[in-house]
Amino acid sequence: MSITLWNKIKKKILDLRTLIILIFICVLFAVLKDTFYNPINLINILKRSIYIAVAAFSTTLMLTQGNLDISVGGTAALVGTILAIILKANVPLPLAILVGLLSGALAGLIVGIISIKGKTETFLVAIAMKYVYVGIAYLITRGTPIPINNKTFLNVFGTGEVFGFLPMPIFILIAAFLLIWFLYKKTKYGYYLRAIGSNIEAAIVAGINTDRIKIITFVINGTFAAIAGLNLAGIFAFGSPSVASDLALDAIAAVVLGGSAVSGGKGNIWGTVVGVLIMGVINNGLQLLGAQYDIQSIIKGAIIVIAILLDSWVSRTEYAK
Amino acid sequence: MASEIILELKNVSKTFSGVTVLKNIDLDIKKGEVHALLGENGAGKSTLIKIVSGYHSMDEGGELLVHGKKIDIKRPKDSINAHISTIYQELTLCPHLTVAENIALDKQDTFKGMLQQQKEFTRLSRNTLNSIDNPDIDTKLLISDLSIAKRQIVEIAKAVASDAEVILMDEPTASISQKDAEALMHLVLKLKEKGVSIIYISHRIHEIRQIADRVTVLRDGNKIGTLKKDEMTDERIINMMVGRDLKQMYPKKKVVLGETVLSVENLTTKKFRNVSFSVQRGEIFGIAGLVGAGRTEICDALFGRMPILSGTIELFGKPYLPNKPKDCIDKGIAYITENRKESGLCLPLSVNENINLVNLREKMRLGIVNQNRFEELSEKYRNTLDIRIQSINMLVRKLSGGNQQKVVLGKWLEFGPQLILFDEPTKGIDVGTKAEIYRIMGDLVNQGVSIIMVSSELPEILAVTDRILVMREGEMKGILNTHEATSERIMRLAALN
Repeated sequence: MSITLWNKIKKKILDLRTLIILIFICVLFAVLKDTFYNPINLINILKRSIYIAVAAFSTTLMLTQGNLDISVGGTAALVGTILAIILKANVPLPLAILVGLLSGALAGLIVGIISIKGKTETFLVAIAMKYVYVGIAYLITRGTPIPINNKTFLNVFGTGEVFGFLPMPIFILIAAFLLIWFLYKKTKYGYYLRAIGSNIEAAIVAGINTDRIKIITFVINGTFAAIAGLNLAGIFAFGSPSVASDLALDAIAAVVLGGSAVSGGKGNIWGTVVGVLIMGVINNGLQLLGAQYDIQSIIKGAIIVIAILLDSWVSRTEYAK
Repeated sequence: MASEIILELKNVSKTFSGVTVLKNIDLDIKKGEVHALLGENGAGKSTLIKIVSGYHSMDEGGELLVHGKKIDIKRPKDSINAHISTIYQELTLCPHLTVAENIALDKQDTFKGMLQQQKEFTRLSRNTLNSIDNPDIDTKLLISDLSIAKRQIVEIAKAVASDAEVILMDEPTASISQKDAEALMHLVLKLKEKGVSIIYISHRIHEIRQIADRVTVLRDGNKIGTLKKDEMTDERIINMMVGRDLKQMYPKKKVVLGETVLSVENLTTKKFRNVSFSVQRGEIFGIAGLVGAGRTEICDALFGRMPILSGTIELFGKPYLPNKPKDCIDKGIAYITENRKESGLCLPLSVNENINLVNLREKMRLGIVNQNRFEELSEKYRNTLDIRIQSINMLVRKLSGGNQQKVVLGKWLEFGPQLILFDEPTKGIDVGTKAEIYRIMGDLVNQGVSIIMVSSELPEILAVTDRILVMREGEMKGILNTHEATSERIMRLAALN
């Protein structure tokens, strides 16, 4: 079967479909509203996308292995409140951050162990654990957000700027991206992860400890949810149990928009970046046009549906050989 | 050639939940030998392979020796470590990984450290592919971009790369073209030259005669015997495979055949070509052939589950174009699929609920289910089909295979089909209930229903049908009158070139 030039072009277009969608909506908003491509606005989009991006990066790994952990919103809220409470008790900042990250890792580990070792549906375990994590967050805050006064923390994770325009958390974003990219592309873990998501029978037959690899992914996902939680706490200057309730869904939507295979095996980390930006641009553009939250939400949903249909169509044409 | 024995099986048996699939099998494989395993569907070949590969464990009392030493194979990894590599029927490649990554997968232990060594993967796969005369496969391509035949080559390369001394191949040529099959057999001989031993399962007798040094025939889980190369004649092999006469087990009533109900002319789909036949009222029309020959696909096409590329069908004298299952049901066709548990029954529901699932609309008043009517019908089929249950409210999941099959039958009979497509009617059903299923089929044709029956069991198809269509590799090889047909004749058409 020879691949003709047209097929090659078609394949490239399909591969780059997310980027094409992003460019299209950017142009659309730029035409509709000239404040859209103002640099300040563009940085604003970026700033508001960071916490979703971080969660979406690790969600890309989860989707590659064929699981989805929707408890991460709870984890992010919990980590924010834990940080606020221990900073209030004058724990040194680095230690507080470390505790925050470890709490996230532990939250992921618990979901992972219950669902993998207990041979249950990850989705259901994650729903249940989200209730637990949010509940703990309410318990330690007694329902009222706890203010955070640590200037360094607020700078690094929240509203600080470098050169007067670049938000500080962007460095966290870059570090998170590089780490995930490295794990996925360069480590043995990433190789096994793709093998498991692609054909778990083959992975088992090859003697890979599939349970361990899967649980590691849950831990990474929990840790990244913690980073997202720290970012949110930094932006709001509060540790609040009620933030981030949509985080998991936003992250999943971005990953799917980015073209990672819903059926597993094929993650697309650059695609996830584009997916996050699409979500950010839609929110921002609609806000500029004066749309309320309700309209934003409807349009966002519609675009995700289109992306899923596109993914299904692409995978059908790809394998219909 | 008195060469060294690499792999030896002694007294290997396997029982799945009470059913014996393999009985006291002894087998030995010499260095550099191609040893073929042959048998009808369900003879136990694949199970035997899966025991050696660590996928299933054997029953107590059996032994497996590698180089004369007894080893314990509990997991697939144990088998790989003993330098035994397996190419399963369902390919075990990862579609989203590259050729190089797949070839390196079984060998990952040798790559130290935490990082992927893509360069090493590429080097290993390049060398392996070169060594088996396939230097043209691009190691950077994803498996999903390769043809089935190329994937098969990659499977073999994966086995070679893991330093396999024995490679088990379960029907490697089942889903590839004749030309690709030739290339693959050439490759097998090449491996043999290198001193690799191969256990080769195939249904195609000509292939086996071409490449095998010895052939062992299994039947119903028993080893019937082993033939050396110079003893392999078609006659002997087929005799060993079939070798039984159970005709008396299947009583066939004489039914007078009526007018033509279905006639199919030059029907062609992606999976079979130019199939023509007709079925008369009251006839049981058999379709024989090996797995993958296109038998089920004929039923799928007649039931609107597979697009028809060309050809014409007439049903009850009128042109008929199967579109979707609903239309076919409305025209009086029922399709009882091979996969009872997947597409035949709702396992968590009761017998009552399952039987009434088709044709629900007629049993409802203003959208509300008429329970009495439901139960009446269920009781009726419980009696006429002799479904052995304590109550019609029993869950279908808990019934035996035979009773489950009767529930499926009841469900379809309820709307009075004129033509029943019956794929493997007695698959997974015990001998006693089998006879009952045949009796029910006999009763149905007596009432003027026609049945198209696909079956892998030759004795069954020879006893129950009026005529038999034999398929091989998507082509029709002939239609036999059952009273003139024999197992040998069918096997010849189905398996020989």
